[in-house]
Amino acid sequence: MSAVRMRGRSWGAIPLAIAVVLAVSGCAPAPSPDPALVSLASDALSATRSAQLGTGQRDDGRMFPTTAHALLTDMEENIADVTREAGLHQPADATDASYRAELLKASGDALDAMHAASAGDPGAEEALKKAADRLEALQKQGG
Amino acid sequence: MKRIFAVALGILTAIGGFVDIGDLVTNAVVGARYGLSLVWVVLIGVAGICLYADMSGRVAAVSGRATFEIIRERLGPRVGFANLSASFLINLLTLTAEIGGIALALQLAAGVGPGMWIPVAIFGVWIVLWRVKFSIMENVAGLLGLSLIVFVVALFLLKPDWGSLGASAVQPWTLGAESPLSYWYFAVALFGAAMTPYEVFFFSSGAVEEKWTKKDLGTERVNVFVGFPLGGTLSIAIAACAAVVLLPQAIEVTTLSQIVLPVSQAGGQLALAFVIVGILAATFGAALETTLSSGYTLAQFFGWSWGKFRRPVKAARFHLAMIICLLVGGGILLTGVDPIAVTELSVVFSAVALPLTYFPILVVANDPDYMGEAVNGRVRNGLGVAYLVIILIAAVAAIPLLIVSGMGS
Repeated sequence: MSAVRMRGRSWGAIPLAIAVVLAVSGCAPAPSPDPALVSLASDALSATRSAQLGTGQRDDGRMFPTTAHALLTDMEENIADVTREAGLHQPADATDASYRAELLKASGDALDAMHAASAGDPGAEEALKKAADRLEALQKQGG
Repeated sequence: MKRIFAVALGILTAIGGFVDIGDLVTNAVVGARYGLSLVWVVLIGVAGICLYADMSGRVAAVSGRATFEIIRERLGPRVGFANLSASFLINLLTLTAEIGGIALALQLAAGVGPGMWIPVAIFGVWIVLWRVKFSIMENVAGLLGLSLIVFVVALFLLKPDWGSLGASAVQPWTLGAESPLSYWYFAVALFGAAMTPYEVFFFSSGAVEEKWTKKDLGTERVNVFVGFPLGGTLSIAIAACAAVVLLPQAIEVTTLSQIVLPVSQAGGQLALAFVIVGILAATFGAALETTLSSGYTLAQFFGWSWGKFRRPVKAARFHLAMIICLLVGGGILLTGVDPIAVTELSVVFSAVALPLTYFPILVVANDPDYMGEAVNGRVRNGLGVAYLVIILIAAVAAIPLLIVSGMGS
């Protein structure tokens, strides 16, 4: 009799346990990407924002073309370093793999925009801004 | 009138000559990362360099001999050699960073480089040391270095929120997401940049070059206690400009080309021209000083004939030592090493070497055999000892912080 009662109580606890598990998993934070990748996103963001600022100043006549060229060359090197390091990074799980892929894509776009800025393309600043916004979102995603 | 002119010139050159590549880079890096929350380190560092440069200059003016020469005689060859090793190696590292700074400044002006500018920088430094009189060399570099005042002008043109800028300066413990280890790593680096050993040895040997006597002690004090703090305000302005423009955009300073962004943002091409001239003059002047300091330290330790007041043929080993140091510094850079990374390392290792540099100066400044009545008083000694404690803490903490914080990353 008591065993039947206990079994009945056990079955009754299952929906409660499921509810608890669902609640806990729902409240749990999404898995964070590797801090090394987040750090690379910060470096890429810094280079892209610098290039954006320098390109804007050059286009406004506030910066010498030679100085802007030196800045863009430096930032191209910085972002190329980020791309190389991210390319060598071995993702530990699906979250890292997805983050890394997005970082590589945004960094590649930033590098293309920097090349365009060096060539004097008038749309380069806007392209840099878009790449910087994506990198900023990635950086925030990493906390 | 001539006297007033000499004092004014001394102050101006002290201001213009205060900032070097270490100050430029470290203050910009820190400003872009922490705002003004490490400004207290600059203030402590500037007060420290004033205290010890004054002692060093006084030793030279009263005894007629450079500090290094007396250290070897007073403390013996072993302590002298420890002092020599530490100072010379840091000097060489700083010289390497300064040559890199010249090349980077020329790159900003020309748009190409910096590798191709390194031989130009070495030749330029050598020819000036070989041909130009000491006073002209020092005054021209110092006066052109005053162009860096454009950082102060830029700060006002940027119209920052002075309240929040001031608040960040008086709330040094607000770290946010930053690691405290990185914060302290940069504190030590800033301290090392402000108290770079070569400045003291150059000041002392320069006093001998210019034949200072007791009569010049007043000028020496004005140069140090007015010129150096005003030079320190340039360091703070560099950090503040970075805090206003770079910090909100999450830009971390890794190159010299990023340091000029706030200035061109504020004042356009004219301000940019001033800042490029200022950086070139500051790094070129510091390269001259570090090259001379390398020659001074070696010559004064080994008892060679030295000084720019002598014809090169009369101080051959002194000049040869300087040429070798220039070639070694340039050679290191030609391997492709990043000048900014060399600069960051040089300021941290400066902090490590500080006790070996400053302790002997305190000892000599207390010796009545050399100083007569001009020995340190109680206040100076109290401050000197307090600073030695700070220096020792910074020196001990520097390498562990460098490793644990991953160079502040």
